[in-house]
Amino acid sequence: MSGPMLDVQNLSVTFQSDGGPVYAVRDLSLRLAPGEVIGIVGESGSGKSVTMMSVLRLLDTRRTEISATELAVDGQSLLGLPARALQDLRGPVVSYIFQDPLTALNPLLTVGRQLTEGMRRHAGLGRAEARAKALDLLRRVGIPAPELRIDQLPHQLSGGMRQRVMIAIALACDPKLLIADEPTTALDVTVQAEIVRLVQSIQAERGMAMVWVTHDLALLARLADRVVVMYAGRIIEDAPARTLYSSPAHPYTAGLLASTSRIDDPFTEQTSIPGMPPDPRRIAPGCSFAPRCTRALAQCQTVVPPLVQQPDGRRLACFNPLPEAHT
Amino acid sequence: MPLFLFKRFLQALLVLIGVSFSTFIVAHMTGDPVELMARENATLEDKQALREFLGLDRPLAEQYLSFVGKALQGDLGYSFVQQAPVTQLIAERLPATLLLAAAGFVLALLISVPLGIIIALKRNTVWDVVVTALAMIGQAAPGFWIGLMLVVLFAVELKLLPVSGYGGPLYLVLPAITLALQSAARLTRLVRASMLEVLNADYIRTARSKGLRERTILFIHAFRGAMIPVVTMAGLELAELVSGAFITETIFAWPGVGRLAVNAVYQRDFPLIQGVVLMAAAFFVIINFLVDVLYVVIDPRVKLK
Ligand SMILES: Nc1ncnc2c1ncn2[C@@H]1O[C@H](COP(=O)(O)OP(=O)(O)OP(=O)(O)O)[C@@H](O)[C@H]1O
Ligand SMILES: [Mg+2]
Repeated sequence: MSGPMLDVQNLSVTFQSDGGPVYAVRDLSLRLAPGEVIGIVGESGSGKSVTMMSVLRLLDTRRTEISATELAVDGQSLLGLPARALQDLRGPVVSYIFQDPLTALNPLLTVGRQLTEGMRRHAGLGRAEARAKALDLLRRVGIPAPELRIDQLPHQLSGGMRQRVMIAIALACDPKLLIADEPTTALDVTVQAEIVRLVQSIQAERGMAMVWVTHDLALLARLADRVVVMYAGRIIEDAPARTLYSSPAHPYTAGLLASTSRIDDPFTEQTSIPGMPPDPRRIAPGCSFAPRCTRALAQCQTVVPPLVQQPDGRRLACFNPLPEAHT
Repeated sequence: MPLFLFKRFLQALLVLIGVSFSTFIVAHMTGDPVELMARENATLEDKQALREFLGLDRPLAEQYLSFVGKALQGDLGYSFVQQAPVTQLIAERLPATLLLAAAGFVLALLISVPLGIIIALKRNTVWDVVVTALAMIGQAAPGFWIGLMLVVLFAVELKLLPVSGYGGPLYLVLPAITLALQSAARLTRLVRASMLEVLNADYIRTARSKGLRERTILFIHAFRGAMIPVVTMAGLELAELVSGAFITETIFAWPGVGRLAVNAVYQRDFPLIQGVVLMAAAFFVIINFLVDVLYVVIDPRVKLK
């Protein structure tokens, strides 16, 4: 068995904004085995996207401090890697599906051009070969009449079709790790389910590793092997999906689950945890969730709980976890 | 022709009718040309005869319609003062004006597009700050002042270039620079802003995530989109270079349409004023129409609208 597909150790990302430093990601460590599917959940602003963008350094580096003791993909360390070598990893090793297919596709270039340019760059395919492969990919992601669509522009496609194109682009170079950052948030509910099924089936058929970022815990239940919960730039709980759903240990995870499982009212997700996530510009000592936590101890206000490996296979950052977790 | 272009064509026609009407009215409100043209000891009868000869005794509406009717046949009337057809006078001067405008325009683009892209890529560095500051100064400084300073430096002090006049390529240098600088300043800032906006777009991040080379990202993914607002603006600049050449032509004694027009105004030479303004307006409208055509070429989304 080879090493991890993704290995991030002690990642911190700080933006210098006009209102002071924004601590978007703090001391985050995460490993992903080849072929493993993990879900990352957390409220808006908890640092999910920033974490994933830092993997292949897609963040604008101006006014951004990124530090990590290790950042490796498929056994290759990215720390200090020259730009050219990094480009070689983008696409064939790691690829991305972004949230909004409306803005993530170039409005002035045809579907075909956007789909083939990665293959031509990385696999050195000729124009005709690349086009043939692009047609196969479009067919695979369920686009009707690919011969017609391939020469069209993004605005001639519906939102769901654009996201399928985005998926095809992400798959074009047969990546070993696919990072999907809220790929369904911008779509209609019915289309969402289709896209999820599509990605799931492609993942299963190719056996690639996948990170699925979302707000929606319920969705991850059938998608992910493991669920990572983020809060205010940190991982607060990371557990095998079944364990997490049956016995959440962190009070925040429990709160999230309680709010998501109300099937009768799917639109008010996350509202059941009173209070607001903290401002990433103002860092209080102690656990960031403490002000909203009903189980907070005196210690929680002053000391940041470390993320500790538990005997049952999960990682947890809490001084006073829910008792069921230890039964 | 796409519907979009057809609509634009009709709009252009309307603009030309409007312009011809307003120049006609304005020219007639500035005073009676007969008073200027007639001999000093002319009697009232003499003046009346002259008025009739020029057709100025007819109702305004009739004068206007006959003006438009002839204009459509390429006859812009006869200059009372210069004793020559207006079209001929303009045709004589037009090449000089077009040469100057074209030189100024090409220069403005050659300066602004690369410079705007470079400072966008080097945003918030010393380069960016210096060039942006220079562009703002260039934009704020009056054109005639820039022209005079250039003359003082390159013609009077360094004696590298002629002070004024029309002749070989050397005579073109200073007027073209004078004409180009303000446009270049405006366009540089626009190219920078437009480029920055595009570089921040999500689809540029997508392009990066595919592992494309930086130059592919810059020239294939960013450049074209960034040029869309620049094309519109450059069209306006070109129209302005043609019509705004009056001052530059005057400073450098450049024998273009601008100087012809300035003299025509002094002499209340109605047909000539009308002719020049109408020509400038037609130019403006044509350029705008060409910009729209170019739009369809650059931005394929326009076709469907
Ligand atoms: N370029 C930037 N400059 C300054 N702050 C930034 C920048 N990018 C992100 N941030 C901040 O970093 C924090 C984390 O953002 P991130 O996009 O990772 O959140 P997220 O968990 O993906 O949220 P969402 O669910 O809304 O996508 C936020 O507070 C955000 O405002
Ligand atoms: Mg996000």
